[in-house]
Amino acid sequence: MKRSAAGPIIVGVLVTALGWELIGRLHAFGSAWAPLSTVIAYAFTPANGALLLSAALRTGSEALAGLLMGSLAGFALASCAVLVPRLAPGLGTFASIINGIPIIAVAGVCALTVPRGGTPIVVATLAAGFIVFVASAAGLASTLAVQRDLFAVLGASRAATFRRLLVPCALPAILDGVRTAAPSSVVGAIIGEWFSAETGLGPLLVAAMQNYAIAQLWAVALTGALLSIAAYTLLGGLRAAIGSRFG
Amino acid sequence: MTDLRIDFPLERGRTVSALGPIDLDVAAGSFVAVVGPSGCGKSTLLRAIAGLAVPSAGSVRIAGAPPAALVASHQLGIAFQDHALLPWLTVRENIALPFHLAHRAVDTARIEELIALVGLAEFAGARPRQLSGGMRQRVAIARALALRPRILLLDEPFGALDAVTRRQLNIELQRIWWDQRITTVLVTHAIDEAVFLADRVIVMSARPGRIRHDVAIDLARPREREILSAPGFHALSDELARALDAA
Repeated sequence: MKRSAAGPIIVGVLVTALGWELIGRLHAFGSAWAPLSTVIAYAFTPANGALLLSAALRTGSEALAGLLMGSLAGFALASCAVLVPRLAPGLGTFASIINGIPIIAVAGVCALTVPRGGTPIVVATLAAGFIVFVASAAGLASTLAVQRDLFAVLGASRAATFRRLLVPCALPAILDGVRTAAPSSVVGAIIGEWFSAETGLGPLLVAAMQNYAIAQLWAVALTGALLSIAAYTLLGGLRAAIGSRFG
Repeated sequence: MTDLRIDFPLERGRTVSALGPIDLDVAAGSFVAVVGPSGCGKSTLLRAIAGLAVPSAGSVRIAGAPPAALVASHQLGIAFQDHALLPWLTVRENIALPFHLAHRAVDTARIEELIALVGLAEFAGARPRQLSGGMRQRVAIARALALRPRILLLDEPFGALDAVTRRQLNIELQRIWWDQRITTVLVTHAIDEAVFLADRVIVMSARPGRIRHDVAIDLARPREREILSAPGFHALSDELARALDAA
């Protein structure tokens, strides 16, 4: 990261941390707002730290699986819309309807229909899929007219045009979509866990709320946020590396 | 092409006549340049030869076959004003692209020959963003020649370049054409360019574009830089300028 970009980020993190601490200490928003120092103290207790780490690994692996499957599904759907233009309006409407269903309702239905343990992955898949679908569709449509003319004159088949022109052109947009979808897949996995899992950040969050364990509640929320930020940042690095060639 | 006409659709079922009627024969192995006022349909004419524009009436035949047949057999080469190089490929890979699109084994000797022909041996591994505008157009022309096409179509390939680079590339294109002897149709705004490169210059009228003059260029080949200051060159340029003014 460039120094010029890192500076404002560090300042932003420090200001947020200070504000969090002050609001908690002064009880500005009531007693349910735990100071950051209390949350950190909770998280760094060996037993609590191990619990959070294990939950984060579980939720992270579900979110990753959901992100991968959602990305593949979103890309496949967008590819179908490009390769068979007649299907495009229908596929777009289908994806919008799926995206329009509240994720919490989807999770409830999945808890009753998906084999045990699969709900967080399915919900994470749905949460990520629409974002990658939209990004892929935009990326696949981003080729220049002159590039399409060139491929047409050179006698490229539809498959060759797709593989050698459309997909490479779309790659930066697809990676932007995957990066944007990563936090959504974490949220999807957590919501899916609420309904069907016994481990992971979701059940920890529910247990903390039910037991009014304020420090645990904030620690789980912070862990989930860090998981999302880590995924977003890692994928941002991948996007930068690949985008410099394909962008 | 015989009685070629191209109309473009407007709103409410109306059409505008963009081109024609045009009757034109291009001898195999010759270099024909097309000049005319802006918007007269020069590029549309070239697009019809390339199979990118569908005639409203009349027909285009290349060695007796419709453009689609030549496209299917990968016998057309084309270069546009926009180089249309793929930014993720190197110079060598861009020139090899027609082989991949034709599902043919890449002829590495041919690729290296073309790289040398356009004077880019030192830049064979470079990507388009590392090249100047003139270098990119040289790559585009090399790519157009890769499969030894039956006909080479050039749509203002040097239109976006500065005057010095343009003149240098005219000299290089003349040398390349003399070496390859591929039937070539060039669309250009520049009279000097047309006279320097072509065996024959077609002057088109304003829209709808029709052939107003057909001027034979009887300057000796191969043509070198010195010809640009020869009295015969200037006489032909003046004749074409007058024809263009009257168009």
